[in-house]
Amino acid sequence: MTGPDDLIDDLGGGDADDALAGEYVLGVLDLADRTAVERRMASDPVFAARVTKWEAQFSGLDPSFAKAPAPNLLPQIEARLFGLPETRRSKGAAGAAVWWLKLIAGGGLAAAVAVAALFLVSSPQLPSAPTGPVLTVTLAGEGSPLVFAARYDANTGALTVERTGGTPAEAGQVHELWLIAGQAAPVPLGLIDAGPLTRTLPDLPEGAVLAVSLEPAGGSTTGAPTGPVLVTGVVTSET
Amino acid sequence: MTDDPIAPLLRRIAAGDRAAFRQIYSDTAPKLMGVLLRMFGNRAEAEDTLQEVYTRVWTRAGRYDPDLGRGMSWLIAITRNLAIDRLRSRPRTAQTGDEGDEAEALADDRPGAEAGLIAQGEARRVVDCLSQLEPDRAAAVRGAYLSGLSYQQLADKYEVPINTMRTWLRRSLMRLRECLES
Repeated sequence: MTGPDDLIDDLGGGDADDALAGEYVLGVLDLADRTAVERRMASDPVFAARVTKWEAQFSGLDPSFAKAPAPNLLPQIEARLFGLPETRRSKGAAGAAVWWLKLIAGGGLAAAVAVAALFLVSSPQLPSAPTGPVLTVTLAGEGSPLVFAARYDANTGALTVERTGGTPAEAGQVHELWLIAGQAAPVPLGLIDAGPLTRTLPDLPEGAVLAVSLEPAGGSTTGAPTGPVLVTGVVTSET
Repeated sequence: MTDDPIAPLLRRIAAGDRAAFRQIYSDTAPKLMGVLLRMFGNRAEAEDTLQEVYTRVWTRAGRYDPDLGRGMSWLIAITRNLAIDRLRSRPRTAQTGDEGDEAEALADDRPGAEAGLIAQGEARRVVDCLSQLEPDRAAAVRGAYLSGLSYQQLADKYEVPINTMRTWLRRSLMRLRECLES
């Protein structure tokens, strides 16, 4: 009912854009229109700058917000962000695979890609002994509300990964799953959308790292992570 | 921005400094709680959203640009955006009647509350420019920004059709812009 298409007023061009940006900052738009504006901000820097400008201007009203007693919610917030202490310890055991993540963080990708030692073979072969363990790995990160749960059934070789916390990637971006074993280059395992991702792997060695990075829509085109690594989890045997 | 105590904390948080994160919480949570209580009018939802706010502060601190505004303004923008997303996600029937006593009590609308606290040039101009609008048009803009009122709620409050309210508000925005840029 309040959609921009239904609007009849005398504004056009830049004025109409400025009015829409102002409506967004004031917060009066309904959810569909808000979402549409956010999509446009992601793809239209000129429009995004209009929003930023209104935000700065309306911040002059911020002193009208009175302070109120706030409970100490830090323990819950930190648990959400950083996980439980056990999680931190197991991440510390990532060993050599963390080397890769540091390399990614440092942006030194080009040389590393050449290493690309694929221990993943394309044709999955099932383990001969049909009594292997079932491994579960939680992927979490200190800087992210995102949590992914991974489950690997060594009997069938099926690895299933799904998002259990946080929100999907924003429009134009996607979450991509990687497997990093030792000092080998990350191997892309696929994109994770709303539903679970399932891959068949011949093996999931202890100490290997599963990681999710933020990539442009369609995934990394270089064969290596190009965006930030959001969450990681180390494969550890629970026996 | 040399006297902005929040900006350096955000820079440290972007580098993964958890001590800075704890400090920004103790320094700013009362203000952000005030924002959320005013917009939601109930403590449970405000506290729930406050957790989301600081989660986002940790993950997005690297995007803060001190050239675009003060640290506190950035925090309040994050807070308002999350609150409005939640308010607009509610079923329509639940979107009215949120201006409870608690929200009203948190409105710091004493004359001079804004002017007295703001030293920034551009930021305080909006207060001056709002005062040049007709009182009810200015009040609609404030109700949207400060209390998170939707077009529907504003239309109900001022007893005009929603499209009339939208036309009013968009014209008010254009007049504000003209004043702000003069």
